[in-house]
Amino acid sequence: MMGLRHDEIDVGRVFELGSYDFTEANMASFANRFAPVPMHADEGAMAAGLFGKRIAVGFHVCSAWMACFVRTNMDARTAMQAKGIDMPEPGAGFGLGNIRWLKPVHAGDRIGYRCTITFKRVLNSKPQWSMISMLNEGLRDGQLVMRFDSSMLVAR
Amino acid sequence: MTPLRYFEDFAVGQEFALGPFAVTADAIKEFATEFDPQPFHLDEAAGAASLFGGLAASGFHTGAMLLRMICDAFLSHSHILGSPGMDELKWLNPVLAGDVLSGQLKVRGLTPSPTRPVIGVMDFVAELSDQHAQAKTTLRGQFMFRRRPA
Repeated sequence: MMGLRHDEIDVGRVFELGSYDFTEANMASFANRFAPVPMHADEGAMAAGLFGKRIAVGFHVCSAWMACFVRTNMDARTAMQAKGIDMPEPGAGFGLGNIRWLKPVHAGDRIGYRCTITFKRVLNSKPQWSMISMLNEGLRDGQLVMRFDSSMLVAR
Repeated sequence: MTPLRYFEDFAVGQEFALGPFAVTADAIKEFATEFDPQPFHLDEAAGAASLFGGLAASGFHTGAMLLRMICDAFLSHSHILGSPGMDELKWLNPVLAGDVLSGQLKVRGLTPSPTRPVIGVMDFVAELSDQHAQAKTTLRGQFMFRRRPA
């Protein structure tokens, strides 16, 4: 993961993942497919809602984290491959926990994402795999807007 | 048209049927291209050769599809005000192209907001299985609804 092997990934390490720009177009596209409710998709209701204008669907804010994570990981793998070192692809995720949408995200917001390694363990049953847990965060101008925990399998 | 549900129109223990929802290869690839461009989410052959054993939906796509099914079941017909968060989204088995998902959502708790009198919070748990009754995903979390005006 991130061009690093299991033994090189320290608990507490932070990876900056770049950013994602939320726009009227990508917010409407996500909302129309996955959350066609007035607060995300209907102009009149958005103005009358809690937030006064369109807010991004919560899962859109999480999915954009994944886009940044995958891009950063692929870039690191590509850089290692350029040095002749073939890194394994990350494996499957188990799920997400403690997802909190702390601030509404609006069109024009640039959300910066990061992940912090919180736990790692080699699987007793499958020692070729390790489990890595992470705290994942989205920030706007340094202010936390979203967080969740995740765990995934990483080939050693 | 049926009036939109307020917080007071739900009951603890109430269940809503979710789906059926057909998962297509095109939708898996479209979502993956945008948010999770890993080979096993983009290409049938790469998916078949992976741990997943077929073209598999991104776990984030699975969560989004479940949200859509919940919208169709009742959120779109409610005074929904959003969600503070979700406690747990579990991926139990891969969601593959061709799967047809269905399941249910159960209301576990209903609590008026102690600080915001217009809001009530629903605790829920939802689960989805495929056409072979294989469990695919579970979600536990909260939704906020507008309270019925006095």
